[in-house]
Amino acid sequence: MPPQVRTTRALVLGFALSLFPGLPAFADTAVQNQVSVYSGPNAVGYLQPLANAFGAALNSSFGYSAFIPRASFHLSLEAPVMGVIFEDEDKTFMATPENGFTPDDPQSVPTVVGDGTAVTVSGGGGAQFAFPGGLDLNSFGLVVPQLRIGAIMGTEALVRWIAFDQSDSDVGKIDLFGIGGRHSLSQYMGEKPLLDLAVGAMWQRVTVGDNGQGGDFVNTKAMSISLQASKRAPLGFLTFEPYAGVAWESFDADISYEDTNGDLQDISLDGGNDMRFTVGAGFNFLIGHLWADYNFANTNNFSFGLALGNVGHAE
Amino acid sequence: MNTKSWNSLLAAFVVSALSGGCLDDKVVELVATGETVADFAQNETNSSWTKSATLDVGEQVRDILNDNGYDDSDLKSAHMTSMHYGVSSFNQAHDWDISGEITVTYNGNTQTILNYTSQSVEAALGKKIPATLEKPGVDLVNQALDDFVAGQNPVLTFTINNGSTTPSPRVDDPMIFDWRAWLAIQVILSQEVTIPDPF
Repeated sequence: MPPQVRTTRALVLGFALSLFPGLPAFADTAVQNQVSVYSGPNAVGYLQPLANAFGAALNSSFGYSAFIPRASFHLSLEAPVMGVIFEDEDKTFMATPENGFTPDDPQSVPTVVGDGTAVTVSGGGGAQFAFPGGLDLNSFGLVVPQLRIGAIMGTEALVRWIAFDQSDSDVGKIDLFGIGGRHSLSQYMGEKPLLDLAVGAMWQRVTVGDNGQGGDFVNTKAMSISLQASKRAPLGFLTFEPYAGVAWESFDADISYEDTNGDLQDISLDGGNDMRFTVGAGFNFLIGHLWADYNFANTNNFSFGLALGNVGHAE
Repeated sequence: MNTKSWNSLLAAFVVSALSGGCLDDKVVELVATGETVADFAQNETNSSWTKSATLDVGEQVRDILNDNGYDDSDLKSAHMTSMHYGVSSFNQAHDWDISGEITVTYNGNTQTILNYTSQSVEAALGKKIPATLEKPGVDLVNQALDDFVAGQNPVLTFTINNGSTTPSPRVDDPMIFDWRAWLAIQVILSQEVTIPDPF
């Protein structure tokens, strides 16, 4: 391949990667402003849909093929796009008025992804309490560059990493690191197994933003253990590869922010997903792999992406 | 289509998918809460007494805005949320029970904002007791807040009118304590934010 083509391709991919990884960081100031009036259970309820989406997205797109050669060098730079479309039920939650407001009856009010208009209720003596609006979001998206390298004894490693700090701008800061591995089970199933099978595990840690007092706004940990099956089917110069999988996953988020009185509020959230089932398909070509899948879980999500490298899967 | 063309097409697809419309401008309403504090020192030798404090509404609301990084132009509305009171200092041999009202005065109009009945001074020591509010007084505070949003500079006067004290204080047994009133105000701000909403 001529050097100029390689350079152009690298630039295009680099540009694409540079656009997206900071999206959660971009939103962190807006989210902190909105949640700052809340404490405790109200803050948890307000932020829960975003935590569910973040967890679901983060635990996606580890593997688009269960085929892992027993021993060969392969390296790919990948850009998985992981998305969640919010449901109507994500848009509201039951919140309780704070600051000694009476009556403290729970009210249906916007979550962080809900309608942007504040909700005001009247109480004793004509006093009023306002609940903040949401950010009026339809979706959540995450793209993280990942590097896949293999294979030794049918095992490959996967690394996700992005880190930048532009706290003085709207973009904010994000630090994401993830590491995982996958191991081929089908290598033990004879020369020509009916399906490719692989097990894998991935651990990730993400910090986003600044809480205004030197700490992180968001500090999350995610873990996933998965079993995947895929089938390679030659299709001209491409290889079509449908796949399916099941995974156990966890996601924990510690959130720290200043409330409107300048006091630090600390809350913890769990992602809503424990198990997920994935169906998807990909097209493999000599120097790349394009894939898309849908994940069924408490919080459904989808992912698609492109891998570039020596990832040829032709038999 | 050769391999090179396919690769270019795929790269173009990724770039357009990632960059197209993922950042949206949205107008959202956020809420900031602030508490205004008024401190009073009592040294009384009579059962009934009066004491006043003024509150510059504009200054208080601007403090809430500034503390949260906003200014007047972001302000959409403001309202009173709650009122608390408590004794901050009391060190006498016996307790006092007090009854009376707190009024608010604005633009020549005076209304009761809360009544207290048989309130033990000692029982209120170190506490932040939510007040049962009276609508006429709250409406007057909210009117002042509305006037601030409309560009005026309202000033409120809060007056404590203590009607009775048990036992009755005397010159040789004065009632001495410090107390504090908290007035919670919320402001609703309208902000345009640029946030990712990619799909």
